[in-house]
Amino acid sequence: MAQVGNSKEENKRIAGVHPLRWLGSMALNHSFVSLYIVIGIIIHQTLRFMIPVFVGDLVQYGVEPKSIPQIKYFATLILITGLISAFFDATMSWANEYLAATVERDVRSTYFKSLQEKNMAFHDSSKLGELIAINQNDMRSLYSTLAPGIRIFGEAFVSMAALTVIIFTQSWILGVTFLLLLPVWILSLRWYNNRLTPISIDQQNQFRDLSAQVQENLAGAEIVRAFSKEEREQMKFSVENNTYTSIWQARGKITAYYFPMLIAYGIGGILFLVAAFLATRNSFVLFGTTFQASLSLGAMVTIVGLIVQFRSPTFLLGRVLEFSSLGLAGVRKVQEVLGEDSHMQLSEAPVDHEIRGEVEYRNVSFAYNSEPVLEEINFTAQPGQIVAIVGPTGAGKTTLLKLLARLYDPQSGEILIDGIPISDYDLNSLRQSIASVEQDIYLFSTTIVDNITFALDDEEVSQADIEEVVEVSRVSEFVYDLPEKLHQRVGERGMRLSGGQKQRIAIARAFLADPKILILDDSTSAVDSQTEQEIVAAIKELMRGRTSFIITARLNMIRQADKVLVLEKGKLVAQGKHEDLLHNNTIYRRIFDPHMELPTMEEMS
Amino acid sequence: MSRFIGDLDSYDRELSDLTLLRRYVEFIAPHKIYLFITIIAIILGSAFSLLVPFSLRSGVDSLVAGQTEAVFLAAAAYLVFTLGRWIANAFQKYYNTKFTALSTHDIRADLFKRVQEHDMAFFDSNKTAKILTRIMDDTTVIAEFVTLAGQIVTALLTAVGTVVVLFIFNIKMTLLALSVVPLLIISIMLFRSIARRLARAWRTSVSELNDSFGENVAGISISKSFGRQDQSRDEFETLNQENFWVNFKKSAFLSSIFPIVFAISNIGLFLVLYYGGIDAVTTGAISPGDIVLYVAYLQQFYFPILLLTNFYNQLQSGLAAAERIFTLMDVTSKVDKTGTDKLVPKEVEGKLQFDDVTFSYDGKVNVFDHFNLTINPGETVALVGHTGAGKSSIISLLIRFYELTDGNILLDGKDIKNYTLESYRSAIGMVLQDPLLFSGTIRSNIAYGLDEATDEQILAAAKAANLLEFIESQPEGLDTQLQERGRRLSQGQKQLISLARAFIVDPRILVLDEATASIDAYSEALIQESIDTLLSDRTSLVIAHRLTTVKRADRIVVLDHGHIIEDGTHASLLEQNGHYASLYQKYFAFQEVDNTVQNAD
Repeated sequence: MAQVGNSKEENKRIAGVHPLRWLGSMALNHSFVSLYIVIGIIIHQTLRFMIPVFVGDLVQYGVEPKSIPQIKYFATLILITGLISAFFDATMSWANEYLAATVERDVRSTYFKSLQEKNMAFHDSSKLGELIAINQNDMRSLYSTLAPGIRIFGEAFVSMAALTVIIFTQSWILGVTFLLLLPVWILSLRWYNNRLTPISIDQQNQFRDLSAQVQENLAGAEIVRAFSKEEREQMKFSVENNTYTSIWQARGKITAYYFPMLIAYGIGGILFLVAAFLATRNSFVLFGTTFQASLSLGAMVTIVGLIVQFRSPTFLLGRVLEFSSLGLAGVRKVQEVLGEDSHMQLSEAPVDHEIRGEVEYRNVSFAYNSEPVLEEINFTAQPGQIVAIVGPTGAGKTTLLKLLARLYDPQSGEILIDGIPISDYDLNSLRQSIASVEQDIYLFSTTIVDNITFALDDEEVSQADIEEVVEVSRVSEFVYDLPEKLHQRVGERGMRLSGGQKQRIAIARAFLADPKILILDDSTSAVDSQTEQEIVAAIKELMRGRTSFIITARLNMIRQADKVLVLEKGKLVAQGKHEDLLHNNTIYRRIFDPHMELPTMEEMS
Repeated sequence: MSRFIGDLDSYDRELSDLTLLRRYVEFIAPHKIYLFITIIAIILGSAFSLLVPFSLRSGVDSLVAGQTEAVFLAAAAYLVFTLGRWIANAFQKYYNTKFTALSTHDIRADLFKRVQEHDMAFFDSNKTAKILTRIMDDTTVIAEFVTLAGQIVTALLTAVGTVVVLFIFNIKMTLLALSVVPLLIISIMLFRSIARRLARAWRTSVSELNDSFGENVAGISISKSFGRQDQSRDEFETLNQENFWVNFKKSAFLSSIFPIVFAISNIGLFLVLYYGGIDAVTTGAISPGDIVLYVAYLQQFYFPILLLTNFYNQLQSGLAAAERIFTLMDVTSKVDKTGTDKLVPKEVEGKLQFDDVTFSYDGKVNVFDHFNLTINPGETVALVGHTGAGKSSIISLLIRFYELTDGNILLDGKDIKNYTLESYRSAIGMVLQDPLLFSGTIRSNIAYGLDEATDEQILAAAKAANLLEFIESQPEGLDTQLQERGRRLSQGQKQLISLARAFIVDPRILVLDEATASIDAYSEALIQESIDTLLSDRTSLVIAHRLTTVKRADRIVVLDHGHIIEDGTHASLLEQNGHYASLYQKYFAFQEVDNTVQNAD
C-alpha cells in the first residue's frame, strides 16, 4: 500500500496555521478540481442572475412593443440559461464533494499515522474517547467546512459580485449605490458571526457536560439508590439542565434576529427607491452637476427582479455561519493533535543484528512528567535467563520493562541488547523480538484465533502451529467449550472472558510471536487454584529458551528465577537468586518471612 | 445469567401517534403563550411575504402608467413589508426556539426524575448508552422536528397563500406555474429513495471505519509492542479508501437535489413567461407588473415544496423519538414503595430475617423458594457458593433493589416494606464489587452518603479505610480531583475509597460484595485490614472471596441454587468435609499457601 500521511515536520507546521489556510492549501493540491469549482460557481451564479435581466428584456422588447417572437425568444433563452446554470451548479457541487471527501480521507490518514507515531506518554495522557470523537465528529466538521461550507461562501460572494456587475450594466448610478452599501452587508455578516461563534461553542460544551453528568448518574445507578441520593442527583441535574436551556434560548435569539437579512432587505429597498427616482425622470442635479439619468422599463423590471435575489445568498450564509464556527473549531482540534510533538527518536541508520537476548540496563533513570519513577537501575540478564521482579505498587516494575520495548525512553542511562543500545535498532524489528503479556490484557474485537496470530502475517502461520500453541498455552482448557471455539469473537463486542482466560490467550499470542525476549506482568491477585495451575504451567512453557522478565508475586515463580530484582520506590535495592537473598538480605527476608506481621489494629488507630 | 425485566427496545410501537402527540403537547402546555406568539408571527410573516411581490408589481405598473408618486410609494411599501416580514420571522424563530427549548428542558427533567425511580432490574437489562441516548439525543430530535415543523407550517401557509392569490389573479398563468409541481414531487420522491439507500451504505461504512479506528487506537500499545503498526495501518487505509467512495457518492448525489429543483422551477418560469407573455401581448390581461409578480412569487414557491416533501420522514423520526422517550418514562417500578414509616438509623439493632421468601427475576425461574435465614445483631455472615447460587440476590433483596414474589424480610422483627425506601436504605451501608466512584474530589466521593460531613468525619473514615497515606501523598489531599469515575486510581485505591464511603455512614447493617477483579498485592493487604474493621460492630452480610474474610466470619452460609446447605463456622464446616470443604479446596486454599505479602517499608 502506498505510503500516505505527512511527516512529523509537516504536521508540526500544520498546527501553527489558521484552519482555513490549511484547508485551502490542501484544496490547492487538487488544482483541477478546485479550479473547476471556482469556474463552476462563476458560471452558475452569473447565468442565474442573467435570468432577471432576460425577464426585463422580455418586458422591454417583447411585451412593450407587443412582439411575440421576442417574447418567445427571451422565454426560451431563460429556459436554456436556467438549465445550463443548473448543470454547472450540479457538476460544481460534485467537484466540491469530491474535494471534501478526498481531503477528509487524506487528513484521516495523516491523523491515524500521526497517532501511531506518537509515543506512549501521549497515549497515556489522552482520553481514548476524545481521540475517537475527533475522528468521528471533527472530521465531519472538516468535511462540511469544505462542502458545502466553502461552496456556499463562494456562491454568496460571487453572486454579490455578479449582482454588482449586472446592476452596473443597468445603471451606473445604481451600481455605485449598491457598491457603497455592500460593505455594510459584509460587516453585518462579520458582526453576526462574532456574536454567534462563542455562544455556539458554549452550547456544544454545555451539551457535553450535561450528557456526561447523566452518563455518570446512570453508570452509578446502584450507588445512587443504595445511598438514597436520588433527589440530590436531580438537583445536580437541574443546574446543568437549566444552564443548557438558557444558552439554547440565548443563541436562538441571536439566530432569530438575523441582522444581515434586514440589511439585505434595506439595500433592496434603497435600490428600489433610487431606481424609482431614476425611472421617473430624465436627469437630476447633484452637487451642482447635472447628470443624465434614466432607467428603462426593462431595467426597472430587472432591478426589481434582482432585489428579490438578495435573500438567497444572505439566508444561506446565515446557515453556514451557524455551523462554520463549530466546524473550524473541529478542524483546529485535528491540527492540534497533528502538531503535538510527542515522538520517539528514531535511529538514522538502524543496526541489523539477530538478537540473542542478552539484556543490560546501565544507569537507567526515568521520570514521568517530571515525576521520578526509576533511579540508576543497573543489571544484566543473560540470554535465556528468567528474571523475576518484585516490589510494592508504584515501585516502577512495569515501567522498567516498558523501557525495554521502547514504549518510553529513559532520561539518562542506556539499555543494551547484545551490547548494542536499543535506540540503534530499527524500532519495529526491536519490538518484534520482544513479546509481552501485560497486566491488563487488551484483546481486539475479533476472533480468538485472530488475536493469537496478531503478531504474524497470515502466510507465516499454519494450522498446526496454531493448535500447538493453543495446547501449550492452556487455551485449550476452555476454548473448545465455547460455542464458536477458536473462532469465537471476543473483545468489546464479543464474549466476555475471565481474567485467566484472557491471560492465556495473551500467552498464546506471545508464543506465536516467538520472541527472544519475554515480558510478563503477572502481578494480579490470583484466580481460583485450578486456573492458577494452568497459567503457571503455560508461563513456564513460554519462558523456555527466552530471556524472560516476570513481574510476579507467586513464590514458585520467584524460586525458579535465575535472578530476582527487588525494586522499591524506583531503586534497585537488591538482586540475586531467591535463596541467596533470603539468607543475606534483610529487606528481602522481611518480605518473605511468613511470620512477618502487619502492625496490629491498636497500632494503626 | 439474564435478569429479565424488559428490554426497552423490545417494546413494539405501543403508543399511537395521537397519544404521542397528546403527551408531547402536555409538555408544551405550560409554555403555550410562546406557541401562540409563534403562530401569530407565522401568519403575519406569510402575509408580508405575500404582500412584497405586490409592491414590486405596483412599482412596475405605476411606472408604465406614468404615475410617478405611486412608484415611490411602491418602493416605500416594499421597505415596510420586508421590515414587517423580517420582524415577523424573527419573532417566529425566537419564540419557536423558546417553547421548544423550555418544553425539551421539562421533558429532560421529567425523564431524569423518572429514571431515578426505576428499579435496578431496569438497569440490568438496559445499557447506559441507550438510556443516555434517549434522554439527550431523542429529545434533541424532537426539538429539531418542532423547529422544522414551524418552518414547514410557514412554508405551507406561504405556498397555499401564494396559490390562492395567484389563482385570483390569473387562472391560466397559475395553472401553468403549478403544472410542474407533480413533476417536482415525483422527482423528489425518486431522488429520496435513492438517497436513502446511499445513506445507509454510507452509515455502515462509517461505522466500520470508526470501529477500526477505535480498536486500533485502543490497542496501540499492543501494536507497538509487537511491531505491527504498519499492518494495522494498512487495514485501516483500506477501509478509509472504501469510505471515501461511499462518502463521495452519497454526498454528490444529495447535493444534486438543489440543481434539480432549480431546473424544474425554471421550466415553470418558462411556461409562465412564454404563455403569459403572449397573453400579455394578445389579450392585454397581463401587465408587465403582473409578470414581475409571478416571477417574484415563483421564487418563493418551489423551494418550500422541497421542505414539505421531507416532512413525512421527519415526522416519522420525530414520532419514533417521542415514543422512545415516553416508553422510558412509563417504565413501572416493581418495588413496593408504599411504606411510610421512617426508620431511625440509630435505633436499629440489626436483626435480619428472611421469612419464607420466594423470589424470581423473570417470573419464571425461582431464585429463592420459601427461603429462610436469620441473622443476629452484630453477626458477620459470609455467603459462599457457586455462581448463581443466590448470594448476590440475597444482598439485592436486602437493599430492596428488587421486590419479593412472596414472603417477607424483617428488620428487628418489622417488615421492611413498611418503611420509606429512603429511610430504610440510609440504615444500610453497601460496598459493591465495582466501586463506582463519581467525578469530583476524594472528599466528595467519601462523603457521598453523608450530607454535611465534616472534614473530621471524612478523615476518620479515610483512616479506617487505610487511605490516609495515599491522601497525604497527593498534593491536593482530599481535594484531589478524580476524573471519569476515578480513572487515575488503581483498582485497589478505588476499593478503599468505596470502603471509606461506607465507613462514614457508620451503618448498623452492612452489605459487602467482595471484588474478584485484579487488585495489586499491596493494596490487597490494606483492603483486607480495612474490611476487617468495617465488619466489626455491625450486622454484616458478606459475599466472600477472601480467605481472611471467610475465616473471620461468625457464620458461613453455604448456598446452592437458592437453598442453604451448610451453616457454621469455618472450622466446623471443614470438619464436616462437605460442600464447604470442597469449595474451600477449590477457591480459598491457595490463598494460604503461596500468599506473598508485599509490604513497603
